[in-house]
This record gives sequence, C-alpha cells and structure tokens, in this order.
Amino acid sequence: MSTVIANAVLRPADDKVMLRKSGCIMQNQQYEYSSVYEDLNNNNRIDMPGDLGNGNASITPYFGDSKILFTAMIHCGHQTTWRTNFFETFYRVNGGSWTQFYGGFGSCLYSGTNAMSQTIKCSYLLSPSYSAGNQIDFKIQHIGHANGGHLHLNQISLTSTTSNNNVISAHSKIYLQEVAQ
Amino acid sequence: MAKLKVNGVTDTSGNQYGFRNGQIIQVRNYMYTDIYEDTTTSERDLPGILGNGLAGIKTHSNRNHIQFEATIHAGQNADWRCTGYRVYWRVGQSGSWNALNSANFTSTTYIAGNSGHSRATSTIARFDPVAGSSASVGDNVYFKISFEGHDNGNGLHINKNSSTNTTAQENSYSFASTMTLSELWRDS
Repeated sequence: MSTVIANAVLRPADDKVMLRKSGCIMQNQQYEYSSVYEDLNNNNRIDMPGDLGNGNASITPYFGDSKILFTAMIHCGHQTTWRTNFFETFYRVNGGSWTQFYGGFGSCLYSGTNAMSQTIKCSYLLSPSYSAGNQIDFKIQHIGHANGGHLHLNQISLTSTTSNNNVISAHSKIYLQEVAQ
Repeated sequence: MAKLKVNGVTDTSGNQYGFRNGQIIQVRNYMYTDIYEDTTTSERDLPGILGNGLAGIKTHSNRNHIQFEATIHAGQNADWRCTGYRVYWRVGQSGSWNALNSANFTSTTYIAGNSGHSRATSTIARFDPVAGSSASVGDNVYFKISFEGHDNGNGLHINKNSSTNTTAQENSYSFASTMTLSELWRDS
C-alpha cells in the first residue's frame, strides 16, 4: 500500500491548499428521536427519552486530539398557558462516569393557544480528555420550570389541540462532529 | 496533468487524514434576503432559492452522504406566529420530491400586542441520497423547504425585523435566511 506523508497537499499552479487536517470536520454521527414524548413531572431532572438520553449517542474520534462539535436540536411543543424547560448536557469516555459540560440550553413558549412549537438548536465545541480509539457518549437531561415545566417533545400540531401529534414528522436529535486539530 | 493515486495520506506524526468516513469535502450555501409575507395556512413552498427547487449539490460519489442545514428568520405581527417547515429532496430536476423528515423544524414568535419582533430557527440533518433512489456519481441533488402556518397564528414574515412597533416590511438588521448543503465522504 502506498502512503504519502505530508502536512498539507497543495496544487501546483498556485500552492492553494487542497487537503489538510487541521480544522477539518472528519466525521459526524446523528442520533434521533421522532416519537411524541410528554413529561409532566415539572421540576424533576430526568434523562431525555431514547437515544437523546440513554447514552447511545456516541462518536469514536479518528484522532486523540480532536475536538467534538456537539449539536442538540429539540422540538418543544406547548400547551396553554406556558412551558419552560431547561436541558443539561453530559459526556462520558469509554463508559466511565458522566461529566456535565457547559452546553445547556432552554426553551420558553407562552400563549393561550395550544400546539405552538419551537425548534431549539445549539452547538458547542468541546475538548474532552480522551485517547485515540476511545468512544465518547453523550446524553441530555431535562428539568422543567416549577410553574410551567411540562415537556411536550416533538408534539407539533398546526391547530389548537393537545393531541399527541407530530404533523410535520420532525425529529429531535444529537448531532456529533469530529473537528481535527 | 499527472495524477498521484494513493490509498492514504498521513501527517508527519503518522496520523491518517484526507478523505475518511464522514469528512466534509464540499459546501454549498444559498441565501434569501428579501422580505416575504404569506397568510395562507395550507402547505406552500418558501420563496426564492429556499423553495424553488434549484438549491443543489453535485456529489463526487454515489456512496457519499449529504448534510442539510437551514436557518429561517421568522418575523411577526401582533400577537403571534407559529409555522412548521418541511424539507424535501430529489435527484435531478424531474421526478417527485422525497420527504426529509429528519430535517423538519418549527418556529414560534410571540409578543402580545406588539409587532416587529423576530426569531431565528435552524435545523441540521444527515442522510443518504442513494437509499431509495437511483442517484449516480455526478448527479445533482436538489432541495426545497415548504411551510405551513398554525390555524390560529398563521402568517409567515421571513426576514422581517424592526426595532419599532410596526408591521412595515423592514429588514432593519440585514437578516438572511439560508440553506447550507455539505457533501460527506463515505468509503463504502
């Protein structure tokens, strides 16, 4: 097998970089949850359903010094009068203990009408400590506001209803990308 | 022109780089900067490049995947606006559109009794354009976004924003709603 050893590949006409490692997104992984999920526990901190909260969302970086671009996309539904939820984010390396990182976010919907929905998408670039070949898992927990904290994940209707519909078939997800250094 | 064919490229520390599973090898970006308003509640295509089906990306291999991203700036007239967005794709400029449910998203902008407010919403999804289609190397894969308003708070006001209580068609802060398409390399 032939292998070229170089830190960059340039084209001959103008030395423009055609291929380099640093800063490139090397891979991505997508974990989704498309069912409607409701949690009426208000102010209790619990794992999100499915792959959003069970630790299945993972990435195994090609390199031992890469950063991980973590993106969460959550579709928050609503029932009168208002709903506020907070989401906390965690990672673990090779099945170890969970570490919370500064990647949390919140959602707030307020109206006298049912079935409004807001998509929340947040991205954070992490530098976890790990070795090449390690698997890094991610999960999200949620906790509702004490006075209006019911969660209506993927509950989306375009009429005023409290039915468990997802009329646009939207998927909430964790999206992971390896950024080489 | 001479071509060098190799099975791998490594840096001087021995780390392989170059095309590997999931690497982004090209990016296409499309933007819409006009203000567009629509009060219908049934599903319709977004205006301009966001919904006319001409936003596309040509893949370098029929094994490669595509990453779809979009950002919509949803303006508002008092009191509130709620909209669902659906994403579709197809290979070439003919044939039926396929739903990309994984990328669908929503927006809600609500301020009681006051107009001119705006909120950004965005989405991201990865998918395989070959699955369920006949995509070949060099095919263009096209995308469009549709919208549908809530029965009681319909009305789309893309890129409309103002720091005053007005329903005037202002894009005071130069917002652009966008669609970004990236090709992801796949070994197999």
